[in-house]
This record gives sequence, structure tokens and C-alpha cells, in this order.
Amino acid sequence: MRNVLKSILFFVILLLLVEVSLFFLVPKGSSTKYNYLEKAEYEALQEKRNSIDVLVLGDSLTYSSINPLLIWHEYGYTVFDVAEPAYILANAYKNLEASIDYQKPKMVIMEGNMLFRDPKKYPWYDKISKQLMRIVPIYKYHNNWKKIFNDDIGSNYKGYIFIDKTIPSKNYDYMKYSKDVRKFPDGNIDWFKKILNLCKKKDIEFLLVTTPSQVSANYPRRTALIRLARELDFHYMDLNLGNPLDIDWTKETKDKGGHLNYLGAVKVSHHLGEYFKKSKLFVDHRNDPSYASWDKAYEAYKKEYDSTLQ
Amino acid sequence: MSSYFDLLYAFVFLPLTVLIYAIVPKKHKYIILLLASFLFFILISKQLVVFLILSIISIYLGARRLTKLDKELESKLSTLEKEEKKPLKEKYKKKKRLVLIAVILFNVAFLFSFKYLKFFLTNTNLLLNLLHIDYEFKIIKFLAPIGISFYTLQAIGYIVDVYNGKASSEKNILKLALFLSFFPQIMEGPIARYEETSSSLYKGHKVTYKNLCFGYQRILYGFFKKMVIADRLNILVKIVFNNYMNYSGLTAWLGVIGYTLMLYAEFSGTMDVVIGSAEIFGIKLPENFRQPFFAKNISEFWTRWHISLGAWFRNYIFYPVSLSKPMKKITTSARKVLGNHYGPLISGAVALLAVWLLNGLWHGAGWTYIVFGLYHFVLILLGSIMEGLVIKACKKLNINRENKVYRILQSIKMTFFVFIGEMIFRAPTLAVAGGMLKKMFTDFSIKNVSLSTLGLDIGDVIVIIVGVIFIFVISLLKEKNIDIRKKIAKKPIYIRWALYYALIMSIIIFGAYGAGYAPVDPIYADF
Repeated sequence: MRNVLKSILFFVILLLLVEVSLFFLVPKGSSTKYNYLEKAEYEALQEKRNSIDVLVLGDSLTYSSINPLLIWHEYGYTVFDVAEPAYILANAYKNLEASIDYQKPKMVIMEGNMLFRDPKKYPWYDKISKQLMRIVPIYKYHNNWKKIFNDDIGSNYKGYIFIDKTIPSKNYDYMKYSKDVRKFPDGNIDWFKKILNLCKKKDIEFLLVTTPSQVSANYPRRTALIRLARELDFHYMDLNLGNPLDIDWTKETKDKGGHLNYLGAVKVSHHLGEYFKKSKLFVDHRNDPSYASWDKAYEAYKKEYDSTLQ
Repeated sequence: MSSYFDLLYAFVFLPLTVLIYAIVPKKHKYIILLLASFLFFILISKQLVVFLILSIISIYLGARRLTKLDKELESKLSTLEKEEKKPLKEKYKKKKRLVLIAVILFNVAFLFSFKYLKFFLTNTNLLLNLLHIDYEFKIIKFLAPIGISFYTLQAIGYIVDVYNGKASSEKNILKLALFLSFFPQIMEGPIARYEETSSSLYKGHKVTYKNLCFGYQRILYGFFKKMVIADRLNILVKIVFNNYMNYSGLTAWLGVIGYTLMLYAEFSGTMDVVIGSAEIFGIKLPENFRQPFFAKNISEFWTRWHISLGAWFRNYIFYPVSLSKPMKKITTSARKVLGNHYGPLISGAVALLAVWLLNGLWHGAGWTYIVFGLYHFVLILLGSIMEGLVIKACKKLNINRENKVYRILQSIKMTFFVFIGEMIFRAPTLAVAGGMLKKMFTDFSIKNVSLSTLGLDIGDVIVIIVGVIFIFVISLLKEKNIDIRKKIAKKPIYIRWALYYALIMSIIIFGAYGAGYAPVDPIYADF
């Protein structure tokens, strides 16, 4: 019995140590309204107040294909990926709510894949691991000891995850015409409307995007999204039909067409950068010294890009 | 689950197995270990478990047959006259040898098909092309079951031991299956002998608080080596070996030293997890590392690095070859001509060549591995030839070979040769190995030596240096026969816990995992 109590005490102290270390490791930003665990969960809160131009909501398709640092480097706009693996709309809404309480984005982009994800189909272990990650987000932030004395830098890659793996697929037409229309799982449209209303209320432009994916994108889904866009009056950009970005699926995917890798992300990011430029909504911040941390983040990305390319 | 460093292994699979093992009655405990071992194997290699089962059945039947033949011979001998015994013994020896060869060939055939067929066919095609023969074999490559190189050697070792009467054949096939598939050791060894681990595996030990603590301590130390050091060095190693032509010789040296340290941290770290896992069940597996970088020469290095593989080659290749009848004859004749020192070297050299060729090939089907083996053969042979001369020279020059400085210089020289060997081992082709070797000894410029071009930053370098110093100090204490874990266990609880927390937190914070890092794949699991 004594040993059991000792073991429990050992793990309690260990958890406390992890929590204390998190306090130092999660970038603080300047918000005082949110504690470090909330900042760990809603990463846009780690950035400087009102420093983000575009928030991108989405799942793994987002953080693998939209690279804010490239857009920063080429256009000077600040984009942030608010994205998590297998993200569901309810959680994305909460994240957006907290993020726009602190940031003033001019545009919110949402990746369309989330609309088709049924939250009820979440496996139990996924739910548990997600909850664990929420309580103990050390996995994401442990490496911040390198910049422990510089809490100004914000998140490493602004929500983007560098994926250097390549498991090739073939170049084929995965967007073949079909009369079918994919249905949205129950409840998703309600959450989506909430997101839309929040954006309207805050006077934020909204754009729905479907990024290239041979696994997630298809014609019935595209038709469903076009109809939804007409019905609820928002912009929809499809990057799949006709392969407008000229994605080479033999080289630019990490998992046989499921997601893009770092090379594919360059194409999507460049395309979105051009879109932002044409919208004339944004100002180039590259010469603004208060955005210097974005240059540092870009340098770190470039280093990883170059070494991977070698 | 993909390796012992998968969190699913350390925090779900292992604890659940321990829990079930603890509550099951003593006589059934081994069955729990067997079920866990098969589950572990299936989780990684899925349907390829069939090949493991076939190996187990063949070894079991072969060993039982050998024992049956022994018993038959024994009962027949008791009724025979002295002069009739010899031919009968010969007859049975032949029968036994046939069984042994059949079982070994059956198992080696799997190993060959999974590991060497592609290499063999590729080189055959090259040869046919050179000979202008218009035929090409279709290259086939199969996905190998995990640990096939390890469990095949262990299985062969067992059947040879039964053949030689050094091990009794196991009557219970389930127990034999556990010996050959025990989950902590199936992926990367250690390659154990039956008499070494079997009784401990089947005994059904109690799970004690002490075993749990000691086992997890060892596992944590393994995680530290792998996640803090090996995975961090992986970035540098990948960059240098993939682009050595863009770097100077100095950077190539950094990559080679980095790779040697990475390999040590990865493999010895895995062994810590393996031995620690077994320790929780009260099972003592043989050590696979004994401070290899403190060795005096390459020959001794290989008695300290991957000890169980070296021992296997010594017991099942070196001795049988060097003590075979033809070799004995050669030794006798050579002694007359070359004297007592150099005479036995000839048979030893033949056996050594066989050992190192097979050792190289065991590590992988590729010319770099064969050259890696031959490189060690030459070094060890030269060491044996030169030893007499060195002793004489030291005596003449009044150099004490036991002197500390001399010992340190010996270890430095040995480490230098290890670096070269590991470079050949890691290089993807012989051309790359040659190119790197040339760079390392001819290009001393300092172009591209900056950290940023090597994928590291100052923080990474500090962690690597501190981590390596930490491992070095632990190794030094072990070399001085100091049992660190026992010493720590005697300290007051606040010191012990502070040390454990320091180790755990250093893995959590300084571990090279998550975004921006690619963990080293289990290197030896691929062999």
C-alpha cells in the first residue's frame, strides 16, 4: 500500500512539473485574459495582439498545404493556420471565437473538408488522446526551450506543419464528373452557419477553400459545397477540379494523394498569396519592425526547406 | 505500434502485459508472455507471423527428433559390444547431422528469401549482362517479418546446442515459441542462448515493486539516449551523408562521428528498453553492450558492442571452422614452419574471414556491408599479426602498456578505426563511402561548416554535448564496476526522485520529437 501511495505521489509531482514547465514553454503573447493552457489550445493567442490578417480554419489538409511563412515572405501578409488533425466544426468555432476576440483578421478562410467530417464517428481513443493533448500540450511546445528568453516570437510556423515525407501517388483525374451530391453530416451546417454569422458580425470576409487532395476531394463534395455557397452567399474556391495548381502527385504528396507535402504547400500558398494581393484588403507588413519575428520564423522554415530539398 | 519507442509500447502495451502477468497464476505466466509476444509481432508484421510460426515448428520438430535419436542411440549402445559401438555412433551422427542441416536450411531459406534475394538477383543480372547473356531475372523484394535476422540466429543457435548436447530440447512447443519470440527481444535482440534465458522465461516471477522501478529506470535511460541524442543527431547525419559532396572533409568527419554516436545511442538505448522491459517481468536478458569505446582495439570492441551477435559468430562459426579437422591439420603443419605464434593464425584467419563475411552480410544485403565486414577482418587480423611486434617494441622502448596514457591512446586509435568502419556501414553505396573517405583525408577547408547548413542550432549542439558527457560519465562509472542504480537506490528519497524527475523532464523537454524532427528508425531492426 505504501508503495502504491508513493507511486501516486510520484506521478502527481511529475504532472505538476510538466505543468510548470508548460507555463514557461507556451508562448505568452500579450493577452492576459487567457491562461497558458488556453493559449496552448488557441494558438493565435500566442501572437501579438491584432497582428494577424487572415485566419485559416481547418484540419490536417490546412496545416499541410497552407504555409503562412511563404505568404509572409512573398507578400508580407500575416496568415495563421488554426488547424488540428481531424478537427471538427464545433471545436473550430470555439477556437475562432477566442482568436477573433484577440486578433482582428480581415479574412477567415475555412478548408471544406471539415464540413464532411462526422463528429460522432470519432474513435474513442482519438477523443481521449485529444483531451490529453489539451491538458498536456507539452508535445507541441517542448522545443520552445530554445527561445525561452524570447517570448515575442510566437508560434514556430504559424500553425503550418512542415511535412518532408513523400509517398507518391499517380497523376490521374480524381474529380470525374458525377451527378451525385454529398450530404453533410447532421449538425455540421448549424456550426458552419455560426462561423459565418460570427464573421459577418465582426465584418470579416469569408472564403471556403478545398485544398488539393486525391483522397478527400471529389465531384459530389464539390457540388455540395457549390450549392451551399449559393444558398448561404459566401465565396468558394476549389483547388482540385482540373488541377489548377498543377500538383505533381508523384512528388508533392506525403501519403499517396491524401495530403500535400512541403513542395505541394508551396503551390497552394503562392496561389492564396496572389488571391490576397488581388483582393487589396491587406497591407504589406514586411518593412514594419514590429513584425520582425515573422522574418525569424521564415528563416527557420527556409533552413528546414533547404536541408530537406538537399 | 512500430518500435519500443512508441509511446503505445511504453505506456499501454507493456503496462497492460505486466498487469495481466501479475494477476495470472505462476504456472500460466509464460503463456501471457507468449500471447503478448505474438500480439506484438502481429501488430507490427501482421500476417507475416506465419513465417515465425513455421520457424518455431521446424525448430521444435528438429530438436525433438535430435533428442529422440540420442535416446535411441543410448538404448542401443547399452546392448552392444565395444567394437560395434563406433559404427553405430557414426550412423547416428550422420542421421543427426542430416536433421540439423535440414532444419538450418529451412530457416536460412526464409532469411535468404526475405533479405538477400533482391541483392542476389540484382548482382546475378549484372553478371549476366557482363557476360553478354541475354537474360534478366525479375527482381523480387519481400517485406520481411520483424526481427527475422535475430530470431533465425537464436533458433539456429538453439538447434546446434541441442545437436551438441549443450541444451536440452524443449518438450513444450509453447515454451519454445516464447523463447524464440519473447517480445522485448524479438526486434533487435539480444540473441540469447537457450540455457541463458529459458528457465527465467518460464519460471513465472512475481512482479515486484523493485523490478518495476528498476525496469522503468532502465527504459527511461534508453529513451534518453534515443530521443535526446540519437534523434537529434539524425538531422546532421542525414544532411551530411546525403550531400557529402557539398561539404568539406571536416564536415564529413562531423557527420561520421555524429553517425557513430547516433548508432550507439540508438542501439544501446534500444537495448536499455529491451532489458528494462524484461526486468519488469523478473527476466534477466544478457547485456549487449559493455562500454565499447573503452576497448583497447577493434577485436575487443566487438566483444563490447553487440555482444550477443559477436558471441553467436564465435560459438557457431569461428570455433566450428577453426576447430574443424582440415583446419587442425593446417595448424599442425603451419606450427612447424611458422612457429607457435604465427602457425595457428592461418586457421584463425580462415575462420575470421568466414565470421566477418557473414557478419557483414548479416547486417544487410549490400556491398557496403560486405566491405564493412572485410574491413574488420583485415583490422583484426593485422592486430593479431602485429601484436608480437608491438609487445617487443614497447619492451625495447620501455613503454608500460598498462599505463593510463597508453591505454587512452589505444582507445583513441580504436575509435578512429570504428569511425571509418561506421562510415562504410552508413554510406548508401561504395562510391559514396569512397568519396567520403577521400574528402575526410584530403579536404580540410572550412566551407559550409556553419551549424545552420547542418540543420542544427546552438541549442541542439549544447544538448548533444551535455547528453554525450552524461552517457560518458555513466559508462565510465560502469567501467569501474560501480553499480549506479544500486548506489542511487541507497540515496534518500528526495535525491532519488530529483534524479528521476531530471531524467524524465530532460526527455520530455529536450527530446527531439514533434514538428521539425524525424526520429531515427530502429536501425538494427532492419538488419
